[in-house]
Amino acid sequence: MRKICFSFIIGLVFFILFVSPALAQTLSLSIWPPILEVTLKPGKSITQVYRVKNSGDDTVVMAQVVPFEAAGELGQVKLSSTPNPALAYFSLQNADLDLGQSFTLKSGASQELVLKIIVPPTATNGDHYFTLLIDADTQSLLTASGAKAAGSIGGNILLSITDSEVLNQTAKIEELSLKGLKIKDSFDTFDFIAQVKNSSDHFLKAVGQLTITNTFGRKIATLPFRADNILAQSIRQLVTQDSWEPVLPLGRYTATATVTPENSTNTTSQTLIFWVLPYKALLAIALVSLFYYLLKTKKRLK
Amino acid sequence: MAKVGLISILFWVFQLVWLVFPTPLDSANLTAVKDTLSTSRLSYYDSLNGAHTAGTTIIKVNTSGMPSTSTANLFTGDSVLIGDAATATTYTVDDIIDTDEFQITAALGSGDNDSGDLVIATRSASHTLAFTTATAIPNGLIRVLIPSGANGVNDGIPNHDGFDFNTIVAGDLTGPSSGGVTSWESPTATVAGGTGCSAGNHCFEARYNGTNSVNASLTFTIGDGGATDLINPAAADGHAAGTADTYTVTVQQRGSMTDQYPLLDQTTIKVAVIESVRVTATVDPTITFTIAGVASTTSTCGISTDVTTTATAVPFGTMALNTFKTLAQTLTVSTNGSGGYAVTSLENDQLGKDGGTTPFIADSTGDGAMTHTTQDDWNTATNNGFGYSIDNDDATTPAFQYSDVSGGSCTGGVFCAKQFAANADTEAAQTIFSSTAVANAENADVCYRLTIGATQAAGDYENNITYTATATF
Repeated sequence: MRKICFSFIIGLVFFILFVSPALAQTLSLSIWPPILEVTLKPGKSITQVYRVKNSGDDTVVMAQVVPFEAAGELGQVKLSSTPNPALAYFSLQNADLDLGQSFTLKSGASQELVLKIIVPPTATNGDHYFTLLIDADTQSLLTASGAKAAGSIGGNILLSITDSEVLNQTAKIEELSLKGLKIKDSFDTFDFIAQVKNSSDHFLKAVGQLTITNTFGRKIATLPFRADNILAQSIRQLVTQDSWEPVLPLGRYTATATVTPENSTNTTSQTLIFWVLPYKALLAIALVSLFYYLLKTKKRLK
Repeated sequence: MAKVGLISILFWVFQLVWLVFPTPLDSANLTAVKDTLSTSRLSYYDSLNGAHTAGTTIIKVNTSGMPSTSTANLFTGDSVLIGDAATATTYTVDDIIDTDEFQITAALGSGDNDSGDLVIATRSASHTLAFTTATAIPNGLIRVLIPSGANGVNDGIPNHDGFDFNTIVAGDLTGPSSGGVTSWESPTATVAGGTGCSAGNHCFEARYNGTNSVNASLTFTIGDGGATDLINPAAADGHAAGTADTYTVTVQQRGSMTDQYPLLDQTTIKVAVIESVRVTATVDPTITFTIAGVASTTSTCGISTDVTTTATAVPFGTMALNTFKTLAQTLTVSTNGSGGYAVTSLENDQLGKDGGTTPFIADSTGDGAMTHTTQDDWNTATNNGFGYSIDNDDATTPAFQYSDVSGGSCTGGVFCAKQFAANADTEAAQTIFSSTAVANAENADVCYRLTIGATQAAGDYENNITYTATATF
């Protein structure tokens, strides 16, 4: 009996001393590529390998393709549950996996998903937008009230179906403006808003720039736009790769936005005229002068 | 006869004396001569391989019959002139596809797409010549000769056998200074075949007054280091990629004008031009999304959390009546996609007993106006229900924050909160935080808050909340 007790105590001590420390549980998924831009003719197909990596704890994941639509004008997506017949174009070529099928992804492991897109010969011209969504299945058990959290990560797929060699997309600058007042203060920041509408039936990549000329017509800045995608018949706010940070600007300025869809020569442009005056400083000087004047007048009256 | 013999002996004696005591030679070599090019890249000179479709951005070049025979020595961002003598347009290289194809950023114009239209990328370089004088020469000049090739020596197009003059003018030169002379005159540039400059070499001169010192170190810079420099040659005939083409540069010191500028000292050196090495590395675009638990008593959202969470479980445990419990998780996103990302949240349904639909703990309306799209203050524990807030760490654009005093109906700045959008109610997922640029481990805490009233049926309530991170398109 003593031996048993002794062995139990020794075992307990070893357990307490050498038990592996509990690691903080995390869910961490990566997907490559985050965006896939495809133009296919009806009757053609394409294969793209996706790589999913689990940098968190062991988890069970599932791949599915979900349609999306643009959410806002900054390139964000809103997943849609509306059935889309083009979902049938997608399949996984992995021997042991299919879309909608769960599989285990060990901690630190990667899984390649071979996604095939087959466009049937009868498909009509047009665009379809999807997200390849990797859902991590929640394996936790709640013993009392609470919420189970799950994470998903998605890579977007822009699919253009066309039987034409050249898409010849067209765009129009819907709005070119400056955030805030049209008359800017010399000490303000200058945030330009360039809303560009894709007026064609296929997504386009907007290539262009914003040029700024001063009162004397001299070009003083050229700010290239980031070449963002604009979905068919939708509007996107373009952002410049650099910001305009002039030193004490003053006078009348002209900003001209020029955008050409990539692979086309259909250039569109729009001009914005704005004034920059140091009115805050002038106002401050006026107030100080007024205060000084009132002070002097008051003294004189005394 | 004796006279002839005497004359002959005297002649040979003089010859012997001449040989033994020769007159000192005035001419010598300039020493330490070197020509440093600001870039030794070969220019690019090729042509379109077949007619191209107007509007295309993929350019295919010839692999024989032109100075350049591949896309080697073309680089992303290079300016290339494509076209013929009638029309030509400057394009920007977007990417090198393979050995005979590259991509340009803008569509190829209709006048620039004929088979054989030239594809030219010029590489201009300033030449900085450094040398040391060997002889003291009064009122002389320094002349530099740089090979020009035979044809088109000043047309702004690279030559395959020399440097194009590129309409350099005197103002683009920086002549020598000091060297012991009284003064230097402004240097001059003369195109090969111009007045006083033989064909085959461009001439650059700097005249001086006074006498130079011996062993004077001088420099002579040709080109302004910007737009007006000599244009480097394209690959020479029979050029092998990776092997430099060499050209002979001559530096002379000549005597004074009164003596017709006689050549006194001269040194020739070789300069080499070669393709640059294209170093490539691919960084895959990717997006990474992480959910991590937060330990109890962690300070976030202006409170101390009540219970430890994990990445997948937010366990409120047993609830006291009309008492807040607040738990948190940390969401982190990294992406090198230039357009950024967005993280959205969506609950399957409200907290249902044992995961069912009824009875359930309703999503809270906060202190009055809280919905899944409108945030509101939520500071009164008797306003029962479930909701969340955000404590931003470094995410670029959080949808809102617990401390907001404006936006939606929030004014208090204590715990501004929202309901989760519910899939069961066909509500659209709502953005938690986002960015429109690359992101390096941007994170924010989501703070879950729950309070229940006395009429809530006993039991365990749960739901599922899904966070989705997607790159922007």
